[in-house]
Amino acid sequence: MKKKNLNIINFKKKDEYSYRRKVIIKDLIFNTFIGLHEFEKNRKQIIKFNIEIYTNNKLQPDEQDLNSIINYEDVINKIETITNKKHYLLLETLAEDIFSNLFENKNIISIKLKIEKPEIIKNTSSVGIEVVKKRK
Amino acid sequence: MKKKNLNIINFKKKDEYSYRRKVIIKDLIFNTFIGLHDFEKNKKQNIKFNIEIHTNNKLQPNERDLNSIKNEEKKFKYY
Repeated sequence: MKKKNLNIINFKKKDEYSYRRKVIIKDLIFNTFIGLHEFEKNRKQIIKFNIEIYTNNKLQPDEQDLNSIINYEDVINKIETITNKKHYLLLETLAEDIFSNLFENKNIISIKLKIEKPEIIKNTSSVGIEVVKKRK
Repeated sequence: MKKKNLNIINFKKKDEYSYRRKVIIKDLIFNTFIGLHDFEKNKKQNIKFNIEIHTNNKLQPNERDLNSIKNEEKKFKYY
């Protein structure tokens, strides 16, 4: 068979490694107004955030380009701004607003967000919610 | 083909995100009578609960409708 009659098939090069990277923010604490009850409307309370953010695993970290990573300081500043923007009645609605904001960054693939109230119910370490949201 | 003879097929819009939500109650402690042994029948002891409650992930949280979430406090009425 002549070479010119051959169809050349290029197989996609298989990745040598599987790879996952996440940014972690552990026990971030803010003192803020949050909650349904009257006493919560008059008194600030502590809420605790634990966050894991998975990034696009094709994105190589580049020291000259901070868009190649997820900057945890930016994330913390955004969460602080959103938390203090208004009096949220529910942890769930606060979580939704945080997701809406953070997912504007297309390099974020998934977020696990835990928000706890450590002081609100006696006899507990904390009560709260955990939400995992992932791009499909 | 005439337009009126066409059947319009609406494809279901694919969700953009997968989503899971749970309510967490951590280290809830009650002092109560519990247990098989005689000494347990005469003396209260601490029992500790850790609870995770997964909610319907289609339910959007709504500040005007508390049925859209699990209320951590409601559960305490059962103990």
